[in-house]
Amino acid sequence: MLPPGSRRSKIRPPRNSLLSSFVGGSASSSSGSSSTANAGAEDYEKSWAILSSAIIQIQNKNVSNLSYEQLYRKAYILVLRKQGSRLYENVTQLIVKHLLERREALLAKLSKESGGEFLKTLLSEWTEHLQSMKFISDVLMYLNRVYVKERKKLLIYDLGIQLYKENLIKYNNNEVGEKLIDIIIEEVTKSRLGEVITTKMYIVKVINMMELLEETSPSSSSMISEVDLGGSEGENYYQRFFEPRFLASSETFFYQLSHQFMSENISGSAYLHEISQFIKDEEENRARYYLPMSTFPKLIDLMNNILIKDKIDEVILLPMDRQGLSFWMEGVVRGVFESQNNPAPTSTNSTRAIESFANVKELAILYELVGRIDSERELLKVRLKELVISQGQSLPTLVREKLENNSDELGVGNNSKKTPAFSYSSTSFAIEWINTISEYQEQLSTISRIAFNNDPGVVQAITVAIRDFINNSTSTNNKKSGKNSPLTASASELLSIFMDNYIKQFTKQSPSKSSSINEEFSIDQVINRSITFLRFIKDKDTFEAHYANHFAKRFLNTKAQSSLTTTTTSAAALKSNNKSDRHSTSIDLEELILSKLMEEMGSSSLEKVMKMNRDIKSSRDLTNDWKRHIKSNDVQYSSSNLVELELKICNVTDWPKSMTKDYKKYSDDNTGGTSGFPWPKQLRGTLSEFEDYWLTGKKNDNKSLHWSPKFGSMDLRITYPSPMKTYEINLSTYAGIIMLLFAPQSTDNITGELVSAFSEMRELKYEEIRELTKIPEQDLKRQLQSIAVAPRSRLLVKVPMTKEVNEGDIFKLNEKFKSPTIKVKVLTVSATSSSSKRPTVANVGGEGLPLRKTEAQEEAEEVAANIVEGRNVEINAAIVRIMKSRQTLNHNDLISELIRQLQNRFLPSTIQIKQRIEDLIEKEYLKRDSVEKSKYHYVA
Amino acid sequence: MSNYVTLVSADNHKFIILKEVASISSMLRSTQGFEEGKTGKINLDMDGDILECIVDYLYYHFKYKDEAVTGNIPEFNIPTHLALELLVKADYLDI
Repeated sequence: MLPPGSRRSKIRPPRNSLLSSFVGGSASSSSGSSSTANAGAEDYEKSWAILSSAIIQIQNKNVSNLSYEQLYRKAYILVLRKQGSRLYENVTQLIVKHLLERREALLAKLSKESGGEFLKTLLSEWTEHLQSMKFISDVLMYLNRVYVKERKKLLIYDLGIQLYKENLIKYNNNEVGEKLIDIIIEEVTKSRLGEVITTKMYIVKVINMMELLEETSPSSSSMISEVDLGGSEGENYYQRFFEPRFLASSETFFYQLSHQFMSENISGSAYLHEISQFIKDEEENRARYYLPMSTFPKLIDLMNNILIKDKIDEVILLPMDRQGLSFWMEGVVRGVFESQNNPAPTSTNSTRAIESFANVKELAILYELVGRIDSERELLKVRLKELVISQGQSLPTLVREKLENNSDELGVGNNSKKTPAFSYSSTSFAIEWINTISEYQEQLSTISRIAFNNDPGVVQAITVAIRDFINNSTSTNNKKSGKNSPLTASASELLSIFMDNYIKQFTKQSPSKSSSINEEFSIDQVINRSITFLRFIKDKDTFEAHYANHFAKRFLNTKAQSSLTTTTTSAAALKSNNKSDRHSTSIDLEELILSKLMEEMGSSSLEKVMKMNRDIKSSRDLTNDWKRHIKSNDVQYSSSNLVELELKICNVTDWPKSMTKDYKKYSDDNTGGTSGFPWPKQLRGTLSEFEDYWLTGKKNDNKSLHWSPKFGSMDLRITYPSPMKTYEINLSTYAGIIMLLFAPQSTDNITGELVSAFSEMRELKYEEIRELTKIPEQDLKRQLQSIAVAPRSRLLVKVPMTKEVNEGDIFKLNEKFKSPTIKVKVLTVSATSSSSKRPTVANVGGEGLPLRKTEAQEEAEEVAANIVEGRNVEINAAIVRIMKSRQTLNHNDLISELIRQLQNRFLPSTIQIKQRIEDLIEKEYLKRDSVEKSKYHYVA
Repeated sequence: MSNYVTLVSADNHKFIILKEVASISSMLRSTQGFEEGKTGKINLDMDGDILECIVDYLYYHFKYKDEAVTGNIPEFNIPTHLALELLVKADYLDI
């Protein structure tokens, strides 16, 4: 004997000695092999009789009365005597006979029992059979070990299973088997229809049984090895018979289900809920429970294909009333507008708000379902994109409607209320539109977070869609609604207007009259919104141009940063404290925004604005220097009654042309003289003093100084006689100059002091004013309207009292001017309302009338021209940059490289690029290859 | 149920051994479902000295079954005169 663990190399005893040692005792004493064979035949019958009766006993569950040792020895001896094959066959026959009997009994029961009970009966039959086969196999162990191994037959136990399959399940044309399959499918169907079935366990076990029933050519020699491998290779009864039928019936079921849903006209939401629930049940409670791993994916595939893939697009595209994707997303748009009506939504309840507006649940299910058929969810992305684009394109109209409604309400309710009137203008539209889109985008991102698991692909699709409609909606919308829609501006212009408006508001903001919008949005929020919005804009250079333009206007026009503040006449008191405070906040704000923009767009892109910003800073310094200068030279200047001056010195080249183009027109020290601007004498002294100061020190030798009365403002203090009250009036430079015409000119004969303007009571004709001030006609009419017609700032009385300013009108001071506050700001009437081309002016006092006239157009043209010019320069620069590093390049390569470099800012058109290349060839930066026309060389 | 099983030789020698040890022989293990499992007694057609040797071996096997990997196992000595007979019985018992 060998040590344990080396059993493989076991020594087998010689046959003779085996026979002699055992047979010797019981059989005849002769040891010749021939006689043993004879004796064996007799002996076989005896032994088989014992064995067969024992087997029957086993099958009748009477195992415990049998002596194993004896039976084993019988079989052992028979095998040793080479009776193995006979024994094997006899055993086979005996088992077959038994099984056929059992089958009959089963069939008899089948007619009486329900499906579930039959499953149970069959299972107990199966376990009993397995049990008895185990005992039989134990008894015939030696047969297994020797005969079966040598002949490569089925082991007794496996033989039993095979026989079970052949003679019980499949006998008579698979009779019992078909019944089984029918019952199981029936039960599964019941469960799918929502019935609670009690047979789950049995189904699991029957399916296990089926899997044990090997199908691949029984009794073939390859069988044993397959059995050893656990049957993983061979086909079994389950795979051959059950699976195909099960899948087929499932398919029919799924089809019926989906058809039923669709034909019942149920809503898309209901379909999603039903299907998702069904799939969950099918997966968790049915398929995963009783299907083997091999079938599970097949069934799930089938289900996904039929229930989702075939239908989902149909469901997504369902119209509103049937609740498709458009329905689920519709709430987003609604949510945007409604949440705007409830001011200041905090972040937590905005999420809740979204849940109530949009059908987040459905969207989440949709995401889940689509993910089952395509992990990339292409379909969802495509549909979502389409929808977001179409929703986005509907936004301008909705915004307009909202604005119209609001202005209606306001118009009816309270005309004098100080809320910013939502008139039909570009500014309020821009604000509303951009706020709406920001809100919309925020909602979408919340939805992506809740429903789409922040799937980067889906988020990307939404972003692309938003970008798409932002950049395109304006143009397409224009074509559709040919009328004078507010959307004549591009997205970048609107954004610029948006920012301009808020910056102005924040700048203006004083604690007493902060408007409602300021409460809603903090500076950070506005900046963040703007930056987010900016990311969606394709042509960033367009935005820059507009932004530069607005920036310049803000700087030059707003009072807080007045370009030429002069405080004048009677009482030259100043209120600079208050002013400088606001001043610094506005500068900080501009700087803050600039730095944010630069972060976003790169430092090179805002060059123009940066230069303007530098001007602003140096102007501030200059103002301070000037003040210090006056102080230090107090004595020298005290007699000349200087006016306080706040300066804005702009480099003409860096500022928008529409503002600077006629700067020379007003310069009084110009050689021309005829166009010189007659500054009022009250100001003249100060101006010339400053000019002297400016020219000293040689720092400004190479520069010339021009005054632009077009910009800036001045503060006047006027004391009215009855009742005695002094108002501080802030008005534009032009208006101030006009007012100065009415300042007292003559001195009192007795006291030698200036006569009060109100006792002098000058009257001036329109023509006289025009002549005296030399203000351009257009501007003059505007200014006169502002101070003589506008109800809240009627400093002058006009005769006749019409709204229009005409030739021959007479103006004089309004003695009865009254205002609730001491400080009065005269708002300059916008160009349109003063223009004679529009005879009916609806809302003269309003500040937000559309700027659609010559000046505005001119400006727009200029901005457009700037953009084109800027692009040309940029393309040129990019071409040179590329060519310098590559030296030689193909036309197509050059173009693709150009587009790659420039796409962050704008998309250059091919024609434009070609023009630029030609231009550079002309300028001899490039030359064409002499052989290959499409090749360029860089000329150093 | 007892943890032990009695092996009875043809000449009525009795060996009471652990079931676990007896189970090394698949033949002895298989008896448990039958009458022998009930009585706890297995009659074997072999002489006492042979059976003794077999029981020794079973315990030896049981003791060292975990040592097979290390190879650190003492030799099992078989009386020469019983060798052939033992070989036959081992085959019978499927050891």
